[in-house]
Amino acid sequence: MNSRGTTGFFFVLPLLLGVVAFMVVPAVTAVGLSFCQWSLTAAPEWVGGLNYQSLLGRNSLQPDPLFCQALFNTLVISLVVPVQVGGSFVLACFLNHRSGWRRFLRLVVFIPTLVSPIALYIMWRAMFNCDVGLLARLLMLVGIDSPLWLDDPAWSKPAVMLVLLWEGVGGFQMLFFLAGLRQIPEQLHDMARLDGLGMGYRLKDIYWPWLKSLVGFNLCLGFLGAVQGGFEVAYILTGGGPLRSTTTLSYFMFENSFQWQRLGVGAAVGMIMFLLVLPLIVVRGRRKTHG
Amino acid sequence: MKKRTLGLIVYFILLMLPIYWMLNMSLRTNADILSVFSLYPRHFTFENYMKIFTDASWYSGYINSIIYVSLNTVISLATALPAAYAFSRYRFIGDGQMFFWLLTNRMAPAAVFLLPFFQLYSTVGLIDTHIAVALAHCLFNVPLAVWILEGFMSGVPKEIDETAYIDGYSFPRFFTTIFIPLIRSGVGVTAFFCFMFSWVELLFARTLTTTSAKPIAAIMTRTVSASGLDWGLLSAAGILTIVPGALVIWFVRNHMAKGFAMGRV
Repeated sequence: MNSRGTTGFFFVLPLLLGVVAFMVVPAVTAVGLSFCQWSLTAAPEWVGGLNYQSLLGRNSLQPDPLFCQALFNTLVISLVVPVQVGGSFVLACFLNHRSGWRRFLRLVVFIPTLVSPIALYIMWRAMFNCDVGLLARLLMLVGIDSPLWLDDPAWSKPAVMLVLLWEGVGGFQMLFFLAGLRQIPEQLHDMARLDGLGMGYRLKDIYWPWLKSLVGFNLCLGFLGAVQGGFEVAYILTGGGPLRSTTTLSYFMFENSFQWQRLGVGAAVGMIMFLLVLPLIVVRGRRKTHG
Repeated sequence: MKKRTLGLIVYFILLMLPIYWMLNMSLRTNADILSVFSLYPRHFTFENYMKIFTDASWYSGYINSIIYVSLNTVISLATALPAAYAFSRYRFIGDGQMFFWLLTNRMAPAAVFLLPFFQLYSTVGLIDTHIAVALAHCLFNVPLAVWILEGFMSGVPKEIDETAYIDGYSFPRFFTTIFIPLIRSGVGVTAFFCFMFSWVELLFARTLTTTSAKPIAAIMTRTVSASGLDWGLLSAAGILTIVPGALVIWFVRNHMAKGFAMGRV
C-alpha cells in the first residue's frame, strides 16, 4: 500500500504548497510583525514586546484606553450571537416543510448573505437616517420619538446589533439547523403527538438531544465571526463612531495599520484577537475529533 | 399551522423592508429623496442606473470584482478537486490531521493574515492586481471547497473507479469524463460558495488594491466618506451588487440542500 500513500500525497501537493505559501509563511510573519515597529515608509524594526505593552499596559504603563474600549465594544456587540442562533432555529422550524412557497422562501432568506455587506450597511444607514430614514418615520407613526440611532453613543451599539441580527438570522445557521431537523426521525414526532407532549417537552426531549451539537457549532462559529469580524459594519455603517462607541477590534486594527501607520501595533491587535478566539477553536476541534 | 404562516409573513416583511427601501431610493433622484418622504417612487427615474452604466469609475468596479471573484473560484476548484479526491479515496500519513487542520484554518481570524499578505504582495509587486485579491480569498475558500467536495466524493462508490480502470480508462480521462460529471452538483455548490464569499469580502479586497483592481465595494465606500451622500446613486449601486449573487443562487437552487445534507456538519 506504499504506492497508494505516495499517490495520495501527490494529489494534495498543490494544496500543501498553497497552504505553506499562503498560510504558514504569513502566519509566522504575523507573529514576527507584532514584535516590530513598522510604518509603510520604513522597513520593520524589532522592538520586542513594546507593542503588546502599549496595548495591555505593564509596570508604569496604563493599558491603551482606545484598545480597552474596542475590546469592550466587541464583546458587547457579540452578545447578539445567541439571539441570532435562537432566531435561526425558530426560522428553520418554520421552514421545515416541503410546500412550494417555503422552498421559495428558503432562497429568499439568503438575500442578506448574498448582497455585498457594503450595500447592506449603506441601506441600513438610510434606514436609520433621521432625514430620509424609514425607521424614524415608522416610530413616529406609532407615536414614539425615534432615538438618533447612529448619532447617539447610547443607541449606536443597539443599532449595530439590530443590523447584525437582521443579517444573521437565516443564511447558513438556518441552513445547518434545517439539515439537522431533517435528521430527526419522523417517528419521534409521531410519538410526541400521540402522547400529547407540549412544546416545552418536545424542545427538551426531541429537539435538544438531536440538535445540541449543532447549537454549539453555530454558537462557536457565530462568536468567532463576531470577534474577528465587525470590520465592514464599523467601516461603513458607523465609521467606528459616535465617540468610538462602535469601534470593534478589527476596525481598531485597521485604523492602527492603515490610518495611523502603526502596522506593528495593528499586527499585535490581530494576535490578541486570535488568542481571544483560540479557546473556541480548541473546544471545537476536540468535539470534531471525538465524533 | 396558522401561527407558523403568520410568523413567516412577519419575518418576510422585516427581511424585505430595507431592501425595498433601497430599491425605492434607487429609482428616485437625490433631491426628491431628501425633500419628500414617500413609500414608493412617484417620479420614476433610471438616472442613477444610467450613471453607473456609463461612468467608467463606477462600472469598472463591477468588472474588477467579477474578474477576481471568477479567478478565485477557478483557483479554489483547481486546488480543491484533487485534494478532496485524495482525502476521499486514499489513506496516507497524516491525512486525518491534515483534514481537521484545514477546517480549523477556516476558523482562524482572517484579519491576522491581512498585514503579512500586504507585506508579501508588496515585496513581489502584486499589490493592486486581480490575482492578489483572488489568492487572498483562497485562504478561506479552499478549505471550504475541500470540505464540501470531500462529502460529495465520498458518496460515489469506490467500485466506479475500479471498473473504469479495468475498462482501460486512464486516470485523467476517468476523472474528467466520469467522476466530475457524477459530482457535478457538488462542484456547482462549491463554486457558488466560493463565488459568494469572495464577492462579499471587503477587508482584503479593499486593502490589497488601490486603483486598477478596485472592487465595487471600495468604490461605494469612497462616496460614503464624502459629505452629503448621494442616496439614490448608492442605492442603485447596492441593488446592482445583488444581481450576480441572485443569478448564481438561481442556477444552483436545486443542489443547495443536497450540498448541506452530504457535507459533514
